[in-house]
Amino acid sequence: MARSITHFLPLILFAILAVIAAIALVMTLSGERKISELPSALIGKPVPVTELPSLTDAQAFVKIDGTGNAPYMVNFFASWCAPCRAEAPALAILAKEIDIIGIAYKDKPEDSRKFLADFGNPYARIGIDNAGNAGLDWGVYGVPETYIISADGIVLKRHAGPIDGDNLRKIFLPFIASLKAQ
Amino acid sequence: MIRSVLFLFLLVFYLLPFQGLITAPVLAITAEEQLADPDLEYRARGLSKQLRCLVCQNQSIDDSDADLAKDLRAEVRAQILAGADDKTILTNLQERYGDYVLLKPPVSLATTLLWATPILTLILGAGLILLARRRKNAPAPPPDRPETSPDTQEAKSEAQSPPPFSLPIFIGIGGICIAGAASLYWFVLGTPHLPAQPLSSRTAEISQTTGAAQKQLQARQEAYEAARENSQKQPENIGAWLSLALASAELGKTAEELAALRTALRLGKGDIAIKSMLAEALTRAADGQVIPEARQLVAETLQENPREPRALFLSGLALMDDGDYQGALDKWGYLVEISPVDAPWLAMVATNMQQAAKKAGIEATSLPALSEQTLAEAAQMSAEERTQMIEGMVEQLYQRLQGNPQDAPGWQRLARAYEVLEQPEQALEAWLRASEVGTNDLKLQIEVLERLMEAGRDEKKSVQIAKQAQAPLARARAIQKDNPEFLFFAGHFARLAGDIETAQQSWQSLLKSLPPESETARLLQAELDKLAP
Repeated sequence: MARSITHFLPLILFAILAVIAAIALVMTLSGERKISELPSALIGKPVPVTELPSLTDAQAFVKIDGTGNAPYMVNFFASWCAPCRAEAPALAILAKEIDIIGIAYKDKPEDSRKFLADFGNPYARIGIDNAGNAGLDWGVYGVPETYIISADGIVLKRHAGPIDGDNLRKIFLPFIASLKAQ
Repeated sequence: MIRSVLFLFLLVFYLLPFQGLITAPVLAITAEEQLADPDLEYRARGLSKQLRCLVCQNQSIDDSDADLAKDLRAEVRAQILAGADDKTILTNLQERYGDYVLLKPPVSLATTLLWATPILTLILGAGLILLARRRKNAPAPPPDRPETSPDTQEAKSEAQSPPPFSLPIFIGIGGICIAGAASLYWFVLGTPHLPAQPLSSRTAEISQTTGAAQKQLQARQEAYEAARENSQKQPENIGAWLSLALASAELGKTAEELAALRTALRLGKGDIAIKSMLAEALTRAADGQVIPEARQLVAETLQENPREPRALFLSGLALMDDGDYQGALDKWGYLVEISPVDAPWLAMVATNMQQAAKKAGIEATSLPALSEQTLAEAAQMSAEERTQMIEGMVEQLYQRLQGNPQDAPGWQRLARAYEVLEQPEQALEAWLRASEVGTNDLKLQIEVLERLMEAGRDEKKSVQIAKQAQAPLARARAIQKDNPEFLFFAGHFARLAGDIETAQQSWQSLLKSLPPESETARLLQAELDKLAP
């Protein structure tokens, strides 16, 4: 009965579209699909070579490139950023597993120092990015943002927003463990 | 009818670009950002319109006021000045921020469907129209066509039947779908228990609430300023710093609150009450995460006083952060157990326990009594329902105490619960039971005497109360016979009973222990003078 099929064609098409829309709606409402989360263009590419004045040593510079001998993390933070405070405990835990290079994004050095004194300093080295230029090079669109980089300087992972207990256990710690196992 | 609908559509679509002109937004770009060369500036503006602001996500960086948009505008201009052409600039930004930064997505494998959709839709539409026309214009289709029956009778009736996609059917289906989607949306996000309210009363309510909120804010601001001034005047006064911390907390000035608490802690030489307050403030500042410093403070507090409610709550929270849900539940269960029935934090603890139980996958029934959902529900109950719930819990506590009457803190809790329920007689009875059991607890005896004094204000009962007070007085005397509070009550109840001599004796000895010039001493002397015949 080909006739009845063409008769219901619009309804069938509509039903398919409605199902797709419903799935998207349910996933968004349940938080599974994050509409504001953006993909990073840097994944799988070499790190943007970055050289910044050091926060802890006025004479020194912090250089980020592919010449390390172990995987490391780069974390953009700022004293004015509330979620950065929230991720302080998670970074403290991660610092035991992997070197973290901090980049103080658009922050006055004295404020950054006070922030680290108040909430703990998980960083191996800290660079000052007062103008936000390094942030532009890395494609940062809001702090905190965290990148995991392989020993030969390839960006493996990017996480926008604070690292909470949940994604610390579910994403970061397993990922770092698998990196170490390699 | 169709024509008028079509006309409306056309009107709306043609008006859209003009609407943009009417409500053109104020320019986000500022004068100092602009390039001196008008040609280069024109290029920069053109590029900015093609780049997406990644913070707002639906505005170009030319339109957006976001900080990042400003940075990107500066970056575009810097690259123009460096001599890069438009394509290079766009590619450079695309390499850092991904395709998403381009408002016009590039043609790639992932975007094929996106770009092809308009063409596909056109083809599909044209196909459907053609199909419909062919059916209408073919009264007797050739018999070899597969989709029609060879029976011409039927073919004729088919030709007369309306086309499959007639407007009323479309409107009908569309209407049903919209209504269905709206009710689905409402059931997910709506608030069915709220009554309908006319707009005028709602706006009045809103303006009233905002007015009240503003007044409150102003009051808080004033309190804060007074507290700050006070703390500057008396930099050695712990109380001044604590009230400054409180006032700052109410205004959300976290940094000041922390600083004030640290000063108070230094002045208080590590007092655990301040330690736990600081730990709480640190946790609040970190959006509910118990940071290492707070953990340290909590540990120190609990070492000195394992029953400190704030520290207990925070240590549960820290365990929660670490994923030790059972540990958190144990901590909070203990906190609920030692808290008075009417403690203000119980509802919050219960909510947290529920979350922990949910995360740990523990059944609510295995949670300790007096906690679980009941208390969380209490927060949403009406006053009447809450009273009823407390009454039920009080009944349980009473039954338990009948089985274990030696539990002095239990009687105390029961007494406080009766006070909350405004049942003074039962409360007093429970206090007297507590006094009977807690014979070596001076603080408890004094508390009981305070309640008795309160009850004795009623002149009809005063003689009976004075009699009831004798037993707690004797117990207090046995513990510490020169305690000033005991001496005061001894005098008070002796006077109530008409035993002037004992009253005088007690108050005389109390007077000796008071500083002679103090206000209290003066008042007591006045009372003593009244006693003299």
